[in-house]
Amino acid sequence: MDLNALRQSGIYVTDSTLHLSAYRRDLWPRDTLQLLTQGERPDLPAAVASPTSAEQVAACIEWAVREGVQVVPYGAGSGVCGGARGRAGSLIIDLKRLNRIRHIDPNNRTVWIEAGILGQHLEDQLAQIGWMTAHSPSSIACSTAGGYIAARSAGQFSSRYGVFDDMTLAARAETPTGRLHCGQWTPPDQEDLLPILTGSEGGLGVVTDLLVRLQPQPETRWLRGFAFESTEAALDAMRALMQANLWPSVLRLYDPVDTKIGGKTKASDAKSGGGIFGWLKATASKNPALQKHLLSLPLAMPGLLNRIGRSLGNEVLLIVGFEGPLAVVNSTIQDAAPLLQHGRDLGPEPGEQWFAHRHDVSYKLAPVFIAGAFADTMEVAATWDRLGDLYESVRGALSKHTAVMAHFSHAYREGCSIYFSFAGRGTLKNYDATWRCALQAARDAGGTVTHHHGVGVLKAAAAAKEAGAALRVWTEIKRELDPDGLMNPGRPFPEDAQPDNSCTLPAPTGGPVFDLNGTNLLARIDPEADPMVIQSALHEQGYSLRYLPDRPYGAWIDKLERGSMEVWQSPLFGLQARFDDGAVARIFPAPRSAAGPDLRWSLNRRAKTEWMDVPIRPHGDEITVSAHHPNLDQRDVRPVWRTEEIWGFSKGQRTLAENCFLPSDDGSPPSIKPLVKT
Amino acid sequence: MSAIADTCALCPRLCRHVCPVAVGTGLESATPTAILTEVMISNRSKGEHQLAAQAVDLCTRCGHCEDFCGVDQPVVALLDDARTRLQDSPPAWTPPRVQGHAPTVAIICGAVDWSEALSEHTGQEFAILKTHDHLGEAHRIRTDTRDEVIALLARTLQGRTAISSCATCTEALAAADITVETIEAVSQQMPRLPTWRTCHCAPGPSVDTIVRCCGARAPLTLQQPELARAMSAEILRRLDGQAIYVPNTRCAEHLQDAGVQAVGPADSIPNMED
Repeated sequence: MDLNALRQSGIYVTDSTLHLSAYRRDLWPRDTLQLLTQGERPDLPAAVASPTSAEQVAACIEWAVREGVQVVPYGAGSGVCGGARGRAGSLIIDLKRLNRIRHIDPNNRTVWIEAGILGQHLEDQLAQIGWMTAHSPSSIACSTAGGYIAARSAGQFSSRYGVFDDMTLAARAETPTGRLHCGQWTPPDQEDLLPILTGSEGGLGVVTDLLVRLQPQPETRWLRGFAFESTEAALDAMRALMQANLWPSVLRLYDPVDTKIGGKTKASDAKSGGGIFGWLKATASKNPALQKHLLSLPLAMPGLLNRIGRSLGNEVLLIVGFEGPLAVVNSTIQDAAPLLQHGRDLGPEPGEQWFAHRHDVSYKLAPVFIAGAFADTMEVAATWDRLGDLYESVRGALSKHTAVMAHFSHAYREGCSIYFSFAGRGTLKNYDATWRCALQAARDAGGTVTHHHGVGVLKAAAAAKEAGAALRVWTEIKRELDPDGLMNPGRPFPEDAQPDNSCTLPAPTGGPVFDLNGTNLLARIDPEADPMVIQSALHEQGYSLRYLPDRPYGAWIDKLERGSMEVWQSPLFGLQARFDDGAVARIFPAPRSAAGPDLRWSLNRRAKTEWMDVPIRPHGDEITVSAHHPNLDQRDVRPVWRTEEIWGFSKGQRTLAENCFLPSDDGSPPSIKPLVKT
Repeated sequence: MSAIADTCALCPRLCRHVCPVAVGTGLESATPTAILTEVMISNRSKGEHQLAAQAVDLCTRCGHCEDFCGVDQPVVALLDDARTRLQDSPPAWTPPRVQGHAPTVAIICGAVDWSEALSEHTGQEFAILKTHDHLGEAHRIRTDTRDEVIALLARTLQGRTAISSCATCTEALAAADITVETIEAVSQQMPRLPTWRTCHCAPGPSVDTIVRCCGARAPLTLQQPELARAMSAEILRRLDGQAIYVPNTRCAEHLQDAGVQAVGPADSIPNMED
């Protein structure tokens, strides 16, 4: 291995064990457990390169191809699934010196950044000039933008601003076969591979540059806690808020155990602790002499612990937040009030406590490991109609092996994510059994196995199962861009994974609307049908297409540039497509998933799509308002639809439509009228 | 100390974004978490001390990690303790001699002797103490030799006032209860440039809030000079040609070596050019 050839390109390269040692692993708790229980760490990579430009990244990959060396891209190593785990003999490309903000475009609200910039540094610099990306994962201090796109990250304000997929408008990557431009940077004659680069976890190449949406720093932020009698009642409120187009920045629902044990209604900070980890730590710290036993005893009997937790009552805490221009927030709060009427208003404290300590949970992990246990998290997602089953199924699976609690966050119009926190006896056997059961349970309940933590080694096999026959799409593109299979092998899918071609479901009949789900606000439609015909059929059932394209959906999606849609607009959910040999690929409609790349767009181009799940809205629900509002940007107000002259709101946004605008020049109030039902 | 060190080792690197060595070099190995992981492994094993002994020197002891930490981890003390346990003791420290009998002593620790220019500017006579190791810095980053150095320093400068332009030396003098004045205070000169706030400067407006230490201090600069230079090179890149004032001679010289247009406290003394 001729490292000097690489150094001659001006790249900092080290093969010192002192440095290599830190790149053996990321934050996958299994590797932590293995280190603590067996004193073992993954193998050493061969070298670490720290390029400072895209050209230097290309030189690294070129060198690796020439030498036949596997490449592992490394951001800040905060992944919890082993995605950036080092491999024996590999070249680590550490991207953290590729960390500049290249250009800020306030008019188009975009920022061009290099992929190695740490999230906190990006936000700190943007905040100085009044902007933000609004991407705020709890790992923000220890994660990079490249990692966000590689593992499909979601931040704590995603219900308003979207996950990082939604925020990313363009990307540039270096691959073994050359430079790849995606999204808005895609050359006119090439396929846009941004969805497939998203979530590829370094398996296609190394992302070097990103074009990301900007948001203005909010003028005001409103946070409040509400107590509901049951999880179901609170989930109904969450769904209602999202489907009324009110775009809360925060919707976090703690399950009964997390509400009670976590003390979410009380003050909680990093030192006293909250959540399951804080509770275990606090329990143990009451008697340091018995610390180990106090932790190990309940963790040896997780079933008992979970039963005690559940017996504490059904009341749950929902934290709701809105942010943006003052006029918009004030009006939105009034629109939200009736939807929260079944909750007991706890005032601002729970929300403000959460906001102040929202990144503290990570401090609570160390004491659990030190006491001989393990702690981990699992984030799954599904549409609203399957959310309850998914919660019970995964919770039940985790409960057999660990003490578990959960919260629901990252809400969408169509569904939501569930975030499980669990702690158990610190053995690899227990760890592996826990995850085996939980991943199977998520799949059995019709959820995606990962919402925003990515795949890594931990979920690679489960992600491949979830992709089914659509894995062919990945394999084909991987072969084109990385013919020697050198880029982060085994991630996001196992190296030996085969597409599951066993599904041969028949094509649906009876279109153009095959199915309609009013709970999720999704319709299953014929992608080749005339949208006006679909619209008529939906009107008969009281709904409208949320987006009415000028051509059949399949062709529209095929040509749609993701960046032409606003951050809150998602035109496509699930789909079923048939390959030439009859094998059927189905991607079910989780609102967002991080189970590998977003295969839907490329699948639609490579196989015959038989149905698509697309968003709908209640028909005749609109209020229209004149669009002449010089002090408000429609990106902050978010009408359901707009033209040059008119903004259309849903009835759920009535106060917003009435109150948030300044009078027109002649002093007359904005015109508001219900749209005539057609 | 080992359980406390484990808390850092098992933390998901939450302070990495404020660690100037981790940010300036981009190296994962320089994060406090990675360093203390090696210490944890060393504590738990019988023979594997070599990596930990090297890792504890990937630090400039600026303390930003402690300032940021949500659970008040004493990171610098943990590393000093580990360094003492894992590395051989250095030879005993001999304090430098003070030249002259004036009650105020100019501490000259860098490449430039500014005492004469300052004396001309103020009309005040100074004694001189020249130090090539920043008043026993390598001994002061260990728990077994620190107190002895401080005591020797106190004896050497007993009853005198010091003028120091370097945070490292100022720190030692303050620990020895020596009254210290800065060049700026004595000369009453301050350049009109944006200030680069180095790791031990008082907080205030600065030109960059991300890389707050230039890498000039021990142990990094003594044990990993290449990485210390990488840190100043990163600052050069960030500044993109901007001239700055650095209120610390040692840091100013370190940055000047990297090509940064840095003006230090000594540079602002009138007649310094002569």
